[in-house]
Amino acid sequence: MSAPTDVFLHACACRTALGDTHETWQALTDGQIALRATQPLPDSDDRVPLALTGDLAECEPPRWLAPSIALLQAAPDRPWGDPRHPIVITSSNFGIDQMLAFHQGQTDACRHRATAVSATQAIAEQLGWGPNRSIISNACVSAQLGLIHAERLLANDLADEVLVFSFDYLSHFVVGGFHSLKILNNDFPQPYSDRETGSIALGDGAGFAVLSRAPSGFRLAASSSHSEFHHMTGNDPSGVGFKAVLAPLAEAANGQRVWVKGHGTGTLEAARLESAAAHAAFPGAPLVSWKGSLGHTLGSCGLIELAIAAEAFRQGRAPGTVGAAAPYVSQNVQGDAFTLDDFYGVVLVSSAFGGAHAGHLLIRE
Amino acid sequence: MNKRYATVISAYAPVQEISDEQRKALRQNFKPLAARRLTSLPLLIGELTKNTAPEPADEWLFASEFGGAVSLDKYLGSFPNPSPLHFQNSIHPGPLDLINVIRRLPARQLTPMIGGENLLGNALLAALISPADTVHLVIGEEYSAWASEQSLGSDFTFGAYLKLSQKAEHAMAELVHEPEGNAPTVSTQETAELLAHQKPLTTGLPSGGAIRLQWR
Repeated sequence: MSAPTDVFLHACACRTALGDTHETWQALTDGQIALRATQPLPDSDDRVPLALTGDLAECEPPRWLAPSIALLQAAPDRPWGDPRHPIVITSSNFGIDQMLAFHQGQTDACRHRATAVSATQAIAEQLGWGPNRSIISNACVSAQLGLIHAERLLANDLADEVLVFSFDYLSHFVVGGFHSLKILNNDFPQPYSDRETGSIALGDGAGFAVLSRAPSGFRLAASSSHSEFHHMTGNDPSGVGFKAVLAPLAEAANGQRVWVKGHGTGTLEAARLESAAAHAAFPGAPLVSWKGSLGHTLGSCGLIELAIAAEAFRQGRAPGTVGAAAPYVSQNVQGDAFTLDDFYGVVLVSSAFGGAHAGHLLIRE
Repeated sequence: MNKRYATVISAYAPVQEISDEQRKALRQNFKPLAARRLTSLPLLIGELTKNTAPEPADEWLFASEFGGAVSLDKYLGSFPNPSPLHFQNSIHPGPLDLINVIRRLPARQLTPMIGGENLLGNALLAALISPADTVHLVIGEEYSAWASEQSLGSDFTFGAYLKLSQKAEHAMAELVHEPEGNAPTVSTQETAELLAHQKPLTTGLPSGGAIRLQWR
């Protein structure tokens, strides 16, 4: 199942409700929580934890467009979208806010950015991207699948550099959906805490990474994926999915000291399965989640958390599991921020609907 | 990465909507409770992939511009009381997830791709560069009245499936990357039509070059 790679990370940045990459890292390290109790739907009596970069409202122009453009303008200047510089765009939302707005009778302009293709085209037009673009969407592992696709393009000499970009901004479409599933309630999430009930939170975010085979300070040393196809919204209770995605990454780490940035949304069953699998695959490795502050940034979480992890290495300190409190479901859960002087790399994993899992091993060169 | 062999090919040529009679027949692939939740596209996927015998080390690719359009339409219509069932089924790649969950088919990876004119080329290229011995490529759309009327969904229902192996044994067709090739792009809808009639196809790539599928 292992796919060792020889791919390097050349640029990587994100925007979250806590700010840019460095601001997000700093706030997380300081234990700040971006989540705020927010009405999930206009007429709702409930409040749910959301980490927003603006009002939760469907509007024109869409609220994902300007921050996506601003973020991407920080990417290295290349002829993106030409034959040797492909772009991989990922998301689980794209312009679905515009779809809901149009369905509910708002302006016709919303219709023109309502699908994945048209939302991507709106960004491409502003940045002058060429046509060599692919779009990947598999719920909350979208960004990591985008990275894997980029690795394969490079490994097969189909690119000099690849830009992977992901954006997910909340709307009533997705907040209403998670709320209807009863896993988004008025309780703030505490990833990996041993509690009576679990809960998750959602957040806005976007991120990008530029990958190439030219050496840099960070290498994506291995990638891994597994799809359980056990249940649409739950995991196989044996934990086989978590074990399967971590095993090739543990093999690639080869006993070197790593830390684990888990998926850690705040649901209890997945927390137990993931923390146990991480403990078995990487004995002694600290396990953290940042979704207790940033919320779950859905299809983009893999890229956003990659950018934060790289910044943590640059700064020499990793944020702990913000928002959670002991007792934890497993002894490997790291509550507080910790220094990274002796760490070789970080394992980053994400999970999604359908029992999909994807992961990477990022190492310092 | 230049070549794979298609050992199973099945396709359902485009129609606006599948007939009630056909829908009833397609539901026979599933237990009644499961079949009740399946809209046209997952029903078609269930039929097209029913003899495929996938292994856990295989990879899946799903190429669809609009995915679970009927579930999306129903979910949008459920506001202000959002439906959890239609929400989860509307999320890409709901139609394929549903079938593989019903059949309990663990896999190494599912890569769902979305796109317009370049979708087929991108999906075929992804199949060729996958390290897995076997890649299952599923293509398809389903008609949904509201989305179609607003140009936000497919005007047709169709599907196609290719089991793509690195081994030539039992091959029905060859899939070849031609870096110097040049061809217009072929849509997924055209692909379903061509494969249903066992016709060859060649599609251009946005990166240059082309991918050719030649029947044996």
